[in-house]
Amino acid sequence: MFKKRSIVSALELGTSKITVLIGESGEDDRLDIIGKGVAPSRNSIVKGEIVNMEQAIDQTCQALEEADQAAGGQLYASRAGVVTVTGAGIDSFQGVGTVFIRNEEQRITEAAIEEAHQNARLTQSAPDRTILGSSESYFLIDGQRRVRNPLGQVARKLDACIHVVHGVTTRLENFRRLVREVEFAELPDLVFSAQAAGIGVLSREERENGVLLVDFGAGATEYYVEFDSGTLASGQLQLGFDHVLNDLAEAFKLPLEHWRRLVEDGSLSRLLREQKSHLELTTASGRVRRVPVGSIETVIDLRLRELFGIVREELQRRSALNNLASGGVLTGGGALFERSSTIFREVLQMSSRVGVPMEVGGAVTGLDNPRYSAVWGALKIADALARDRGPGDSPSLGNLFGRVGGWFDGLLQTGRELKESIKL
Amino acid sequence: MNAEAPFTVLGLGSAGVRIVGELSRFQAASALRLLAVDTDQSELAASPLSETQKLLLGGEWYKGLGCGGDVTTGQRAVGNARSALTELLRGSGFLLVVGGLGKGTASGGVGVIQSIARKLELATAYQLTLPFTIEGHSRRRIAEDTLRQELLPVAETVWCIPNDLLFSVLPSTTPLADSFRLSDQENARAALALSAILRCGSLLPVSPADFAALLKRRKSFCSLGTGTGSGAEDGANRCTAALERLLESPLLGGREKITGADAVVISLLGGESLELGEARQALDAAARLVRPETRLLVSAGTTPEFGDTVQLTILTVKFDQVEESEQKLTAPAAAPARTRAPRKPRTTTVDDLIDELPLETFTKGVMERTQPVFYHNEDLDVPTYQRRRVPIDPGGYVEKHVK
Repeated sequence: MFKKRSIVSALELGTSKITVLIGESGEDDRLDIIGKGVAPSRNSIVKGEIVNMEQAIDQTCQALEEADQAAGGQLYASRAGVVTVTGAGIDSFQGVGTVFIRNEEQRITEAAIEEAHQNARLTQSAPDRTILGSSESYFLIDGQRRVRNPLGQVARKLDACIHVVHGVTTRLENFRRLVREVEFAELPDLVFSAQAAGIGVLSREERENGVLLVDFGAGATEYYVEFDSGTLASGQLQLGFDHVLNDLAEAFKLPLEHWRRLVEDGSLSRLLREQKSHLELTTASGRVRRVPVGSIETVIDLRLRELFGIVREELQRRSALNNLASGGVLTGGGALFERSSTIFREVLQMSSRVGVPMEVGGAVTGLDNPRYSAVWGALKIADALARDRGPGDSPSLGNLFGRVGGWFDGLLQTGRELKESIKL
Repeated sequence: MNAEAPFTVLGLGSAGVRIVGELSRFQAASALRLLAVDTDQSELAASPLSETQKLLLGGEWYKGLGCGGDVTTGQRAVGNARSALTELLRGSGFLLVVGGLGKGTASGGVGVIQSIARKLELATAYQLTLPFTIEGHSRRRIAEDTLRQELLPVAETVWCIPNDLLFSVLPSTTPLADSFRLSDQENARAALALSAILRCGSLLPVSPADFAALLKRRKSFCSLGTGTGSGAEDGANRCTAALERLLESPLLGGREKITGADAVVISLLGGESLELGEARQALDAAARLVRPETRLLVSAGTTPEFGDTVQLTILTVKFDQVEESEQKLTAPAAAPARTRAPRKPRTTTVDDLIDELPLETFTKGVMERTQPVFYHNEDLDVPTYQRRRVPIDPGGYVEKHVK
C-alpha cells in the first residue's frame, strides 16, 4: 500500500502545562516529532478542566505558536489532531453484545464478530453523556472461554465485551470550544487521556500480560488497566500532585510554590530519603524556621495513600486488579517524585516502574519524561488515525469497530491482515 | 517496684482470669506478676498461665464448678482461701485487681481481697468492668451494690469500665464470641497500661496517690483508650500512629469521652528509644483534646521491656452526678506540679496563628474556590491530614539572639 507522509498533531490541556506536539509520519511506520510547544497553564486549567477560558486560549495559542515555528509552519497541514481530555465526569462501563453462531460449521466468522460488536454498542449511555470511544475488552466463547481472537473458532455463542468511555457532554464541550477557538484542527478528536498515556508508555508485552497504568498529573489522576491487549478498566479522579503540595502548604503555612520548588529540585525527596530530622528555612526577615521532617512525611503519606487507595478501591470494585503479571506503571509529573512510587507499590501491592514515552523519534529532545506520556500517546493515536483514513477520507474518529483487533497496535495489524485476506 | 516487690495483677473471677490470660500474651507484661483466681476449674484450666499462678477457690465444696453467680457463695469461697491468698500476695509491691462485676466470684471476692491487702499494707487498685446491659438488670444491680457497699468505702482507686463501651465501636455485625474476646483483650491492654503508668513513670510520674486523690470515695464511669505504635511498623510516626489507634480504641468510647470528661490521665510509655521530642509532640497532641477545665494528669516514662513500641494511654473519668454535688472538685497540693509537659517557647507571629487554629476548622488553600471533589461523602480538597484529624507538628522558630 502506498503510504503518504502526513503531518499529525496532538494537544494536551493540563493543570500545570499545555503541550502541543506536531509529528510527521514517515516510512516504516515511524513517527517523528517535528515541533513541540509547551506553555504554563497559569491556573486557567484546574483539576484537569478549563476554569478560565480566555487565559486557557491565550496559553494554548502560545504553545501552538512555539510548536508551529519549530515545525516550519506545517501545523495547518495536520491531517489528524487529537486532544486529550480528563475530568468532565469521565467514567466507563463494560458493554456486552451477544450473537449466536448458526452457520453450518459452527465457526465464528468476521461477520459474527462484527454483529456481536454492534450489539455491544447498543448499550445506551445516559442522555447527558457523550461516548468518547470504545475499545475491545475481550471475547467470551460459549459464555465461558475467554479469548483474544475468536475468528475461526467453533462455538455456539459469542459474547463481545467492549470497554466504553464516556463523559458529561457539556463539560466535554468546553474542550471542544477551546480547540475551535485556537484553530487547532478542523475536526479534532477527543481521547481520554488515560488511553493516550497507555499508547504512549506501555509495551506490547505489558499489555498482553496485564498491566495497570496510573497517570499521576498535577490536577488529575487517571488509571487504565489492560490485559491480553484488551481494556479492562479505566477512570479518572480529580486529585493530583497539586493536592499533595496544597496539603503541605496548609499544614506548614508555607506557600505552595515553595513546596513545588523543593520537589522540583529534588530537595524534598532527598530530605525524606536521608531521614533528616528537620527542614531548615530562613524567612525573609532572617529568622530560621525548623519544620520536622516527620510531619512532612505524614502529610505527604496520608495524601498519597488516600489517593492511591481510591484508585485501588475503584479497580477492586470492577474486579480489575487480578492477574496483572506486568504489575504497575506510574507516569505523569507526579511519578517524578520518589515517594509516589513507594506509596503506589505499597497501596496497590504490585511492582511498579516509572513510565516514559516510548519509541520517540525525531530531533526534538526532552520528551523522555513522564510528564509527556499522554500527549505523546495522543500523537501516536493521531498518526494511526491519519494512516487509517487514507487520502480522501473524511476525518472522524467515529468508533473503530467493524474491525477485529483491539486498540491501535493490534488494531492496525489485524485490520490490515483481514483487509488483505478479503481481497484474496 | 522491683524484682523483690513485683507489681502483681490478680484476675478475679472468670472475666478476670480471661483478662489476665490475654495479658500474659503481651511481651511488655513480662515484668508483671500475674495471678488467676476463680471458683471455676474449667476457666482456670483454659488459662495460659502456669499452675503456680493459678488458684482454685472452694475446690472441695464446689467441685470447681464455679459459684453459680451467687455473690454470697463467691464471698465465702474467697474468704475460705484467705490464707492462701495472703501468701500469694505477700511481698508484692503493688496490686492491681481485674475482674468483671455482676456475678459471683469477683463481686463477692473484692471485699475480701481488699481486707487482705489492707492487712498486708499493700497498695491496691481495682480495674473492674460493669456488665453489658444485655446481661440483664440483676447483674447490673449486683455490680452496683458491690461497688457501693463493699468497695468504695474502703478502696481508694477503683476504675469502673462499662462493657457497653464496646458497642460504641464494634460494628453490629461482629460475632458475639468475638465481641467478648475483644472485651477481654482491651481490658488486658488497659491493665497493662495502668500497671505501666504506676510502675514506670520515671519522666513524669503519676503515683498511686494521684490516682487515689482523683478517685477516692467517688463513683465514676471511666473509659480507657490505648494505642500503640512501634518503630518497626510506623517508623518516625509511631506516636502519631499510637494516638490514631487510641482514638479508635473500643473501651474509649470515642473522642467525646475525652472532651466531656471531668478528669483525664494521659500517659506515654516507651522503650529506651523514646525521644523527648516525640514525647512532647505526642503528649501535646493528646492534651489538646482535653478541655481547659478538665483535671489533667500527665505521665511519661520509659522501661526496657517496651523495646521499640510506644504506648499512649488515656483514661477518662466522669464522676457520678449524685456524689458530684456533695464534693467539690478540689485540686490536691500535688497536682499543679504535674500539669503539662514544657511547651515550646511562644513567639508572636506564625506560631500563634498555628496554635489558635482549632483542629476542627478545615482549610482548602488553593483549592478554595474550585469545584469540590467528593468521594464517599468527603470533600477531598480538604487536606487529608485535616480530615483524618491527624495532629501535625508544624515546627517552630529557632530563636536567634541578635546582639
